[in-house]
Amino acid sequence: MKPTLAVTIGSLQLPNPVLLASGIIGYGTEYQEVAVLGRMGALVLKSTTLAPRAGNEPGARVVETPAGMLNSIGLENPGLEALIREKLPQARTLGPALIVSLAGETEEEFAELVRRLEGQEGIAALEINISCPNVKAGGMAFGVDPAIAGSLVGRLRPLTRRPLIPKLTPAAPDLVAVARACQEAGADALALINTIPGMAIDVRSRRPKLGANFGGLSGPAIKPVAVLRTCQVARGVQIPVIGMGGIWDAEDALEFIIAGATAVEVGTAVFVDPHRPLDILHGLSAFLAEQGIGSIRELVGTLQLNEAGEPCMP
Amino acid sequence: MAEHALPTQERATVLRKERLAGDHVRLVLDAPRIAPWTRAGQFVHVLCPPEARLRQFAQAKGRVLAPGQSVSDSSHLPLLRRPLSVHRLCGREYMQDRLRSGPFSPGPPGSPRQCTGLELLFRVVGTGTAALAQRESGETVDLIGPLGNGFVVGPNAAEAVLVAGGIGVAPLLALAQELRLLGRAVTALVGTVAADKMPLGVDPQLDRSFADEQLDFMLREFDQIGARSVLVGEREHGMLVTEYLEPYLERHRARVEIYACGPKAMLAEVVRIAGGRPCQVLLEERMACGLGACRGCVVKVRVGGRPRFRTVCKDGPVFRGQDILWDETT
Repeated sequence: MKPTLAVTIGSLQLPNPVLLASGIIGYGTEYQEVAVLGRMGALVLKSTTLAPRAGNEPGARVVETPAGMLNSIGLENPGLEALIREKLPQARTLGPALIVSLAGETEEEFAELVRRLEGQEGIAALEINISCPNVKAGGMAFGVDPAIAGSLVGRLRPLTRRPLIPKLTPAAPDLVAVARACQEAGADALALINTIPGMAIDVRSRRPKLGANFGGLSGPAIKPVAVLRTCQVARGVQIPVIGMGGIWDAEDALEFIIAGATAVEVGTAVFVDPHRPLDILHGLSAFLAEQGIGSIRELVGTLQLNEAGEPCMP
Repeated sequence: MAEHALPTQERATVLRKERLAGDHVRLVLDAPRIAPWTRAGQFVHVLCPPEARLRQFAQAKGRVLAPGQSVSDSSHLPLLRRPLSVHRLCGREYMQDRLRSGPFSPGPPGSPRQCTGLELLFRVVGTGTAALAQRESGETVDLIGPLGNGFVVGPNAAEAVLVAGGIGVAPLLALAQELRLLGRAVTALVGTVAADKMPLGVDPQLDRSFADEQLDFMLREFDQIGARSVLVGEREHGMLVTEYLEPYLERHRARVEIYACGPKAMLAEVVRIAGGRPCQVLLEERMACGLGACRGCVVKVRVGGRPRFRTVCKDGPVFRGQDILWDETT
């Protein structure tokens, strides 16, 4: 029997656990010619704010670092009206379930975003971006404090029946506490990790390489950090976890799943090779067949910690 | 844009590699899926780690590399693709004698050219270009392209003046080809820190009647396709190419169109000198996606009188020079 890759995240039924992360493929259409988007478990669209945002000033917004990259885009996006009028109708034609990512500077802005999307079709879930390192207001400030994160999710919960998926930052001093606060406030699942704040310096000019000085690190370099965080959060909550951070191939995706992720997201790897997500999908099927496992769900959280080692919880 | 001109991923074969002056490398690639649709000013997004290393890694992980499928090695160095402008196109329509005589009908816009090869010219400056420079004939290079909006050229009477700074000469040779296909008169003013750092063939012996008044050096690749060229060496002539451009335009009162590629400071100066003359500039920027999705490569341009961010990869890399807000980007 062919193994199944189908997974469930709250009320969300997905054909497979390989999602594309927010901020990678824009609103989907940008990548439709070079990547096979139709086979993905879901697409997470670029974080959208109430009003259009120009993003950070020009000057380097992306910089390559060893096995990774720093970005400081600053949430450039065309705003909610353009999302509803133009981007969503196009993205709906791509096939996969759409997860809309929302970013606000205040609780009220987040609430307004959720309310105004209520009448819109074809949105499978809402990702609540409380982890962007590249904006002055909102962003990561919501995600580093359990009380603030919990309060935001509690405010949004009565406004929609759609799954709410806060996206968390590894910069939180107590990430598991933030995760639990989100769960208690009614989050349906958690997505982690967002990029890790980082800096690269040009030694000749003695200036940061990024125009914005610092930015978010992504790519293979952050994978071990992300796997540990996924393991810790998955063990600390009962709701599903979507794991990401530096996933390149099926083996990487399996690390996250075994660590406790129900699904995974691919990000930076898509920039390098648009065929990565499809390759991961094939690799997961092949692994299940090889191991004689009927469903990917059987693998979730099956990590066996070494008895002599540490319990892994912070 | 026409459907067939959409970007594709292709594993191109290296037909020839040339090591040129000033740490420059030229790769001649067989890219039959990308080359026919490529126009001057467009670029390809290049996966730099050598294929042999990639294959070893895939096999070590117990997987076979399918055609069109690529992997990077476990070191992920260098990680991101590198955007490289197409330097020259090769094929029947780009044969030197045709370009020299021109005009030769290149067919309607958006149609494929009789062309299967493209060349990349780059200077080895970091991990990406160093890895790419290790490619040998017969090996492959993973490309996504053609990307971006190229130069807008048409058959008109104006002389085309191409202004290059350093490696900015790379895409201007493809532009010279395009213009010569249309039978246009082309003059390339090429700036370099020193003649011996110039990757193109520097030839003081070329037909002097072609050369401009006080400068000696010309460039073989431009001469081969019937384009005038003048090499302005900072060391040899004690001046920048922009210092040559200004009096050149004063001497040549005829209608000209200016096309430029080089460092931003040079481009800003070219635009200033151009004044009201048509002036297209090709910008370079660090990129992640190359497709307009990640918004990593923006420049500030004037759109309808107001400043707006535009991506170099998708909205550019060629812009109307007068639209760029230089103070914000230099």
